[in-house]
Amino acid sequence: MKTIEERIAQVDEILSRGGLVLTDPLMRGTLKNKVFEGGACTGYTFRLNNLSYRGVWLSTIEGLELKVDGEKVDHRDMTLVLGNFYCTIDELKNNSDVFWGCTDQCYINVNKVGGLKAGDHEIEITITKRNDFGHSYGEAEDLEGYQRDATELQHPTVVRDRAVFTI
Amino acid sequence: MSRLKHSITLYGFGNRYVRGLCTFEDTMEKAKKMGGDGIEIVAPQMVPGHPNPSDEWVDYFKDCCQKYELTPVCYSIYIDNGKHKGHYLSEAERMSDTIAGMEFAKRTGCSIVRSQDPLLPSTMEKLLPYAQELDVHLAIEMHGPYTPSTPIFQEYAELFEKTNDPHLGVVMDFSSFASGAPSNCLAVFPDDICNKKLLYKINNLYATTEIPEKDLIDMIYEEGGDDADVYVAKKRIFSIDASTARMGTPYWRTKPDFEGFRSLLKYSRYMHGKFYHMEDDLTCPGMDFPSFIKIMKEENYTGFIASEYEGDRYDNTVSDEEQIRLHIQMLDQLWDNA
Repeated sequence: MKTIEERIAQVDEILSRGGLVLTDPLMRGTLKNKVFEGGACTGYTFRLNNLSYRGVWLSTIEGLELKVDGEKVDHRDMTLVLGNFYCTIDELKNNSDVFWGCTDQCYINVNKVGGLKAGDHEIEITITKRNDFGHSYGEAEDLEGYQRDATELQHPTVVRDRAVFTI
Repeated sequence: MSRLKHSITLYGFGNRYVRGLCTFEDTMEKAKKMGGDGIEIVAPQMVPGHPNPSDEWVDYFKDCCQKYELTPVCYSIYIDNGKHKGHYLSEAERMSDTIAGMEFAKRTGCSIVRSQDPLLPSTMEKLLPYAQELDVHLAIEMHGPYTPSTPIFQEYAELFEKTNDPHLGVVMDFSSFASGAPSNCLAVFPDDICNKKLLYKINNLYATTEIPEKDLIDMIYEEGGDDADVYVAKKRIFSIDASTARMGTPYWRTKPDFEGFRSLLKYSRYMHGKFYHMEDDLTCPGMDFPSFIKIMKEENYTGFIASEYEGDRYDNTVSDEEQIRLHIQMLDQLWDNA
């Protein structure tokens, strides 16, 4: 029998899922080493599920942190690859004209000589994203920023996902 | 006797489409089978290459419409004010994005373009010559928590009255008039979290009476509920505060703004018959469809109504196809009997 506190905590946990994000960001079963002729390996990739039911502008991704087997991956070793476009994680915010359609294949590429060893690996991702749209409005000509009550644009959502992948 | 024209918004299949569980053509086939006369497409969701789809895609889309005998009705676009961190889109961006949307609507054969309220009335007015030139109806979606009396929609209504031109109008989403939470609003919770039978009774009383919230809370305790049940009721059944709501939908209980709905109907050629759950007896708790259909018939509404299913937010184990089919059946029955 669960206590009242436990039930309330479970309600909060259930209600914290969802929002505009339809799926878990980590696409299961997609982790692969980048292996070349002769067995050279320069790192690994995995796919992301789209973060919205209607696709997203890459510039709305304010942060992306990755841990593999508990170890943080340096931003300088990562790129996001979308079709024939790619950029470093820190440059995402400057790509306000790149649209990630909801069925477009999007990868995280990690550069690491030798890649990951055969076996299970736990990947944990934390994405901070503001909404692409909302019901706040104003004029941008003066570039004075969002109005104070534009909460949906000023308070990004933090999405976390964790999964074990096998190479 | 005139018949209600049904549109199916392909958005209703979006959850499955985004997960790769169905193709675009599957959604068209379903829309036809469910009784759709036409369809709405949410451009960023289902138009590959958005915001600049290829000629090949436009041809493919038109071929699909022909194959499944569906009228392309509504091309839905957004005002992506979150695109740049720290500031809204400029008017030039809002205008160019919307003109491009209207051009693609024209090319795909859609006669209606649905945009959003952050377009702003002053910008919409500047777009009228483009809507006239392309002969498309540019419409702003009114979605909960907004209602006809929300200031921005009063400004839009003033613009429609001033311009009095069929190329500008509104798409009313019934979430603006929801009486209460859907009848499956607790489906997501396991049975050992809350007393669902009791809370569904409270849910029904909330939507159909004006018993104050505090009395309903007392009732929960009197009938064996506890703090966790009250917590669920506050989170899931009782209304969010309309004055602070941004994206959610407040519930209007027995007092949705029917007269506001009526007054905007003359500027409406398309509406979102939003619903979350249809019962097998062709009722839709939480949304007073009989009252809306009665007004639409009295006002000789000749546009489309979209059966917009959003119940997968509450319970994604339900068949979306069956839900939309029942919704269309309900609308036809209400229309014939109104």
